Amino acid sequence: MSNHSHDTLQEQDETYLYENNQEQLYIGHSHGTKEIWKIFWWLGAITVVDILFYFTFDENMFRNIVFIGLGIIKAYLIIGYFMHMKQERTDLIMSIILPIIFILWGVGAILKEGASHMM
Amino acid sequence: MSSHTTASSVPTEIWSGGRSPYNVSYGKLMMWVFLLSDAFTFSGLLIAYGSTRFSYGENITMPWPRPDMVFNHFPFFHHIHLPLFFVSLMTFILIFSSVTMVLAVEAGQRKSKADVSKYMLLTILGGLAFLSCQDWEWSQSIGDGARLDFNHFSLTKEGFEYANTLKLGHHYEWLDSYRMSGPPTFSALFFIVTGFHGFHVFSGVVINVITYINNKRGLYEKRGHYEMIEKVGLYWHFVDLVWVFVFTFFYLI
Repeated sequence: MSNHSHDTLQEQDETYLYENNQEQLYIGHSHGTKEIWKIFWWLGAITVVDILFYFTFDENMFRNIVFIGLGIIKAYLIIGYFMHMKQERTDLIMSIILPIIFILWGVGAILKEGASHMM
Repeated sequence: MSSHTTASSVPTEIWSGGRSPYNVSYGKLMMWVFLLSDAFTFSGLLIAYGSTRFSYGENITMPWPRPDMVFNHFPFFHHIHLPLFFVSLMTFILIFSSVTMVLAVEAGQRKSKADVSKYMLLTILGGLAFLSCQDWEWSQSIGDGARLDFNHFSLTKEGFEYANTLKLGHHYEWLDSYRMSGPPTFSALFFIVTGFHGFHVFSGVVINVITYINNKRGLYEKRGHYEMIEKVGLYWHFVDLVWVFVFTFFYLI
């Protein structure tokens, strides 16, 4: 388990923090609840816009793009603020977001494939 | 590299070992990686839905069912045309439970055990409310005859004309001549995707209950930090996010 048994006590403490008891890395600072409620109202408003668009526009590509666009905005708000992604290091953000961008490309590509051989 | 020579021995080389490269704990990083893999799984299902749905185009022999004609029921409003009202309510319930979850995380950051308990309980109740709604939705669909390999949701020409006359809030009645057998993939995907998501909600509720009990027992107070609330919160927000996209794809598009 510990292969630093020959370290001095101080060095053992430091690397112990990073290898064995990594939860100490968590220094959660409370930022208050105002921002949380603000994001909640935004999410609610975007959902209402979603529903309004559904009833006022006919079924067409423009409407679908609006739905997907609003969904991406909601995802940005939830991931960024509720999951505190914005507070993480940039390279962690990229490690998670870049594969998601590839998924989104995949969604677009396969929807196009599906539409290309209509029944 | 320099980990054995200086007093401040946290290695500064980010990827050479001996430290966490992202400055987050192993548990939190692995939760993010798991959520990414789960996102791929759900994306596979939603892509299958989109591809099948889009391939139906202007097909008139077996048209793709219209969600606002299939999901227009609401509890206690029997046969009243309320398209997508119930599923919108489910979306709000889940978003609200996400808010109570992040409030629990914030309470953990303030190290307030009582507030963590309060908000975790609200989140659990929100999750249970969502599951009850999903159960009601399923029983309505199954009562309408939907199965994994069969459904009766496609509109005939008469049914299409009748659907155009339906107004919001008015009484509706589906005659036999209005509906016909629909594409089996519609109901199959409905049950499988909402079922798979519902299973995630259920396991999320179980994990939340375990975390709630652990918090009540004072485990996180003793540990000195409430990072577990944040990790569990990540899973719960992911479940909410998936629902946002299921809602968009299944009901709106």
